[in-house]
Amino acid sequence: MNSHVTYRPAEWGDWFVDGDESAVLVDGQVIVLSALATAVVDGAVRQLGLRALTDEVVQRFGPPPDDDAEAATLAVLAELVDAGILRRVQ
Amino acid sequence: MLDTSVRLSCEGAEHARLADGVRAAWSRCLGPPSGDPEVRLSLTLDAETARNDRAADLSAPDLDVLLHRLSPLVTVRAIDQQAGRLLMLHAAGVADPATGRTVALVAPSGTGKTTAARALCRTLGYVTDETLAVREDGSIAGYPKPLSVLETRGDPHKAQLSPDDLDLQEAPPACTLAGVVVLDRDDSAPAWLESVPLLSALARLAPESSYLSRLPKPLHRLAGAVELAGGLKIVHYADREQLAELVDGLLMAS
Repeated sequence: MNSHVTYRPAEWGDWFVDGDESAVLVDGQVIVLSALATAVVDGAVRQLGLRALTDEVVQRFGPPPDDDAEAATLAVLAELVDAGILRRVQ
Repeated sequence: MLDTSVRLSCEGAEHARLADGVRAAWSRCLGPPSGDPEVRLSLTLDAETARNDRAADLSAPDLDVLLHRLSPLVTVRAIDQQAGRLLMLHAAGVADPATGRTVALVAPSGTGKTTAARALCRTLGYVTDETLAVREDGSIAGYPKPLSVLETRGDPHKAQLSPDDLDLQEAPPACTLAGVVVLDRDDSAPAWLESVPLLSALARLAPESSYLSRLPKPLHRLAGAVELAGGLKIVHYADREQLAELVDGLLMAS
């Protein structure tokens, strides 16, 4: 992952937030997102960079067990890209 | 029906018999002629199609077969017409005859909607056994179509019986959504209701809808309907009597 890659919402039908969690309509399918995934999507919607997004996630959910917060954030981002919820932007 | 005007033109030498059969089966969907119907379908019996060398939208060798094929055709055309306007669930709808409060009984095709509607609408109003359409304000666009009933074992064509022929109660003209349940006839005894969290409800209901993605802000629209209905519930039951009690309870609670 290089620092010039950012993440933005992909073409989704709708995003519905209920408390800390949310649901996304992608290709006619509803995907329910955990609080962590919802926070990451929210950061992408607000066009946060990786560092700012990681800081927010750590502040809210605490550091990951291996203490590599940026790698943990990237892992969530990758899952959201695979699910068609986010897209990578160079 | 389904907020859609449909004109069925019965053609050919047997047009009068055909029209009588269609009128009888679709007795609850008849209305005054519309000058500019949104859906037009021409119907004829097979022999006439061949003689006229002119294809109708629907032709069949006899009346029963034609009516059997007509029902899904009308449903598909009306649903197409309402894509992007109505929230359409694969559900039967049963209404309190006095208040119009309506419970949607969601189930995939062939898993009990018609059976449930027949059983419950001895006392509740028949809204539909196929597609329950909800307008943005929570009111219901009724679709009291004929019910498909397998009369003879092994017959590939289900009889299309008017709700009038089956003595089903009429739903009042103004119905509103008051409950949404998913039918799960899993032989539970006693029957029970499982509450589904809102986000899971969206995931559960989306596959049981038509053209959801075409609505503006579709998940918000679906969530609004679920919240209006007091949340999604799964009804686990074994027989019709249990289902009737639970639905009555939902209508009284709402």
